[in-house]
Amino acid sequence: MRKKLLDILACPVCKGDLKLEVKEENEEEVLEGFLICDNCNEKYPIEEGIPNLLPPELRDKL
Amino acid sequence: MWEVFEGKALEYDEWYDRNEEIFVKEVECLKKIVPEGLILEVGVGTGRFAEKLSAIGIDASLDMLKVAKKRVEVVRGDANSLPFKSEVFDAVLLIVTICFLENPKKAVEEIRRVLKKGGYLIIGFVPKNSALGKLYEEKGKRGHRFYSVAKFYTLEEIKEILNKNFEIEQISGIDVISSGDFLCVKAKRT
Repeated sequence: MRKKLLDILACPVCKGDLKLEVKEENEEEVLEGFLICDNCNEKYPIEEGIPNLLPPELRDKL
Repeated sequence: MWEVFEGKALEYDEWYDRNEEIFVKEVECLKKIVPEGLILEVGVGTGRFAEKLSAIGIDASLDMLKVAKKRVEVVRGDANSLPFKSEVFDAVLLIVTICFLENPKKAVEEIRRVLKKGGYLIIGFVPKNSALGKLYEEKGKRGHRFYSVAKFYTLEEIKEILNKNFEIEQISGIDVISSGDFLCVKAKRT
């Protein structure tokens, strides 16, 4: 996930702003980390460069 | 619904290689009506259309996104709860996707929210009453992996789904096995 994408992303549930927590990155993108909602505190994982922004009830069903 | 695509991304993606001629015509039809700017494709699948139309993509299926990521920027998410701020996109694309949405009316409302004022929803679909639509429905009844979970719509039904949220500006189509097998609808956010 390129950091620039953060400009347009929002929490899928409450539409609050997200902040980025980087665990691993290269010069192009964030590979592993979290997106955390400023408003409702829900935490969304970034895995293999793909942010998982499914609503928690769908994400946890899997 | 999207669970049927998990583990099947490469099989799905191969369709585009086997049917390149149709794919090229569909892309041409869409290119004529997709505006400039920031574009999102909902139900991006393996990213074939998004790559040609310079869009970023969202899909619920991780398997599909792993393939799409080689072509475009992707996000995993649900069409009914889009993880984007309001009024950020110039256009949102729904290409051979509306037939797989569980609640298309809700998805269309969410798409309206993320579109800028005056932004466009572009729908590419195979009409239920076209020759190709009938063939796909028949395949679905016989248990085809993807078409058996699809719900096809007529143009009139698409208009109903768009309701008062969008105003249709343009409709164009291409022939696959007969005329009007694939329609491209350009609808402006009201």
